[in-house]
Amino acid sequence: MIVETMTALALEFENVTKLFTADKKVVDKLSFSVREGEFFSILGPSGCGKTTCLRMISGLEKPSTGVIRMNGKVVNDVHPHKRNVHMVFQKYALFPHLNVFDNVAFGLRMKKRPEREIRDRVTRMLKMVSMEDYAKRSIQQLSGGEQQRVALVRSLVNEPAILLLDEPLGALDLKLREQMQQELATIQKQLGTTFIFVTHDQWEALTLSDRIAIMNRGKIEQIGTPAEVYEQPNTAFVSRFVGTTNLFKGKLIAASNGICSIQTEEAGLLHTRLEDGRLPPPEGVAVGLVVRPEKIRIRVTSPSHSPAAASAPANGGVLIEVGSGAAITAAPSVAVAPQPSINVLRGTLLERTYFGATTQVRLKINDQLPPLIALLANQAATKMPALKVGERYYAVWDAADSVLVQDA
Amino acid sequence: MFKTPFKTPLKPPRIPGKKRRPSLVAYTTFILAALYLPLVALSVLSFRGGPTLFHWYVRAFSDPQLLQSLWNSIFIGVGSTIISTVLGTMAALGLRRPRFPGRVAFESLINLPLVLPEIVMGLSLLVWFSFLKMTLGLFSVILAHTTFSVSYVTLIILARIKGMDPLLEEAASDLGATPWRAFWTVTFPLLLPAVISGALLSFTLSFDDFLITFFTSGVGSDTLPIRIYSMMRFGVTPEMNAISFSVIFFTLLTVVMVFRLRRE
Repeated sequence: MIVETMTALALEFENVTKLFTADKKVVDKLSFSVREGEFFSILGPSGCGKTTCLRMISGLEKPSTGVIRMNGKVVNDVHPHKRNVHMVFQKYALFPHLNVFDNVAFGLRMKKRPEREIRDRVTRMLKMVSMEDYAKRSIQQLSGGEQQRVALVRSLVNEPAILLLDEPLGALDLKLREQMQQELATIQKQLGTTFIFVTHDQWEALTLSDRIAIMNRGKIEQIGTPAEVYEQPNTAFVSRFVGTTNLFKGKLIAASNGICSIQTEEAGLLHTRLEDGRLPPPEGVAVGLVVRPEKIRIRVTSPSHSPAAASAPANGGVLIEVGSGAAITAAPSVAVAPQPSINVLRGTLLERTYFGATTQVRLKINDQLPPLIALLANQAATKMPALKVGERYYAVWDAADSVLVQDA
Repeated sequence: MFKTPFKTPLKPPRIPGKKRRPSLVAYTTFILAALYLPLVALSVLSFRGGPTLFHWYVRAFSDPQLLQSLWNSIFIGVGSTIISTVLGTMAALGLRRPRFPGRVAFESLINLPLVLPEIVMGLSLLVWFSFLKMTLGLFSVILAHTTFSVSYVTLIILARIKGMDPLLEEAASDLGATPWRAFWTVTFPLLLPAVISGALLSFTLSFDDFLITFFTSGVGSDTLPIRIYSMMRFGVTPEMNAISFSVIFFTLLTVVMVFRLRRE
């Protein structure tokens, strides 16, 4: 909190709402702030309002209600050409009748800078993205990646306080995309410009950003660092949208010593650790439990007998025998478990997919539950159990590795 | 022997199994001949029968009445082109807005002169001008020509606008351009080919027009087509062939220019 008041805020949204028609809220009472020099991403599915957010920051759209501040000043009614904010458009929007140099020089010419200064600054920018030899080329002669670079420096040459990027890498192929991601990150650190980056690509947001806002239906579901939104999603939506996830829905039945017990209909009683400082929701409320695939271990034998479980608190394992209604009969025994620090489910191996460094496994627990996904590191052959499709295995994870989410 | 490193096929390779169809060739030749033989005949006649090759041309271009009508045609053409290009461009830009009151009516009215019989337009304009007690002359003809050519200009520019990325203008304003400068530095240069081709078309239409001009021109404001028509009453003279072929030549030239611009 102290840190936040010390660093200047480049941008603040306060209860910003945007209506396109009287009953269609594209952006719904949004409040967030972006610090100076931050790489801030807005992540969300298409149609969630993230592009509208960017357009409101740039001034191309006006908020219906609420306040947008830049450096503490309200900018709601400031025309785009008077804002020190520039946008890199999704399809670049380069001017086809101008060559590379004139495209980049456009903003400076609008500000009526001396031609000499324009030449210097444009050349320096083109050099930064190794495009100095392309100055006289026409836009149509450039490849997608080259156009992307021109679009980027066309905005950056004006030294904006905030650079807005609207899915700028969406049109590039995978390899070029990864290369441009690195370039973007380097340029951002080098110039220290505040970047606000809109994307629907979760990995792009995770790898590039200082902080991410996850949007859904015009609202922000969570704001946090990449690790926070991945490891501690607030809502089921966030957990599903960022990374692969296993979600169990149920009711909170007990919360003590930072351990929450959730009664699920399909998988019996499951446990999760509450993060420090977070208050548990009231008992009986509908919640979800989220566990990431890489946190799950696969065991051939019940963890209470296996050596792996020995390191965990003795007999802490909760075993649910699944199938033919066994889950229900197992539930009462679960409730009396003294140290519910691990979760165990048993299921049939549906398929295994080899990814090189990892293997993904899908385990069918029962008919009601979607298959459980586990991601196993491919360690030395001696440490890997030979997994066979159709065999039954135990899926085990620590309560601390799963997260309680508000159910959506 | 010396061998060339490149083998350039003189003919495109025949695709096996694909025969030339003589009936198609004959049909095409017939249609083209029907369309263009009269023009060829006209051009040949315009060069024949005189002591020198360009005799009839010299004669035609030294006829003061014919020259006056040519100047009238050019003056009216330029005048109506300027007015209709400016109005048409503005109308097309206005039609960019997705909805405004009366949009549908406006768009239909823009299209109307394309389908309305010229005789109806000519007559109604004459009635209107006399109702306003306007003297018929060059000015009334310019106004009359503008009424139909503005539609063509609007439609040509509108087609171009619809193919234009609306983000470009936004990008310009995002980069610090005022709306006025964004228009002149980005929108207008991108529309320019359509504006020029619209202007050329409007000039051609005005230059060629007979019926509407006939109704709305007064004494001394005869255009070239009307002059030629009145000369016809005394029979076709070789001078008329010469002047007609000149007109065809310049019309063809503008049409070619329009097509080249529209292709860009």
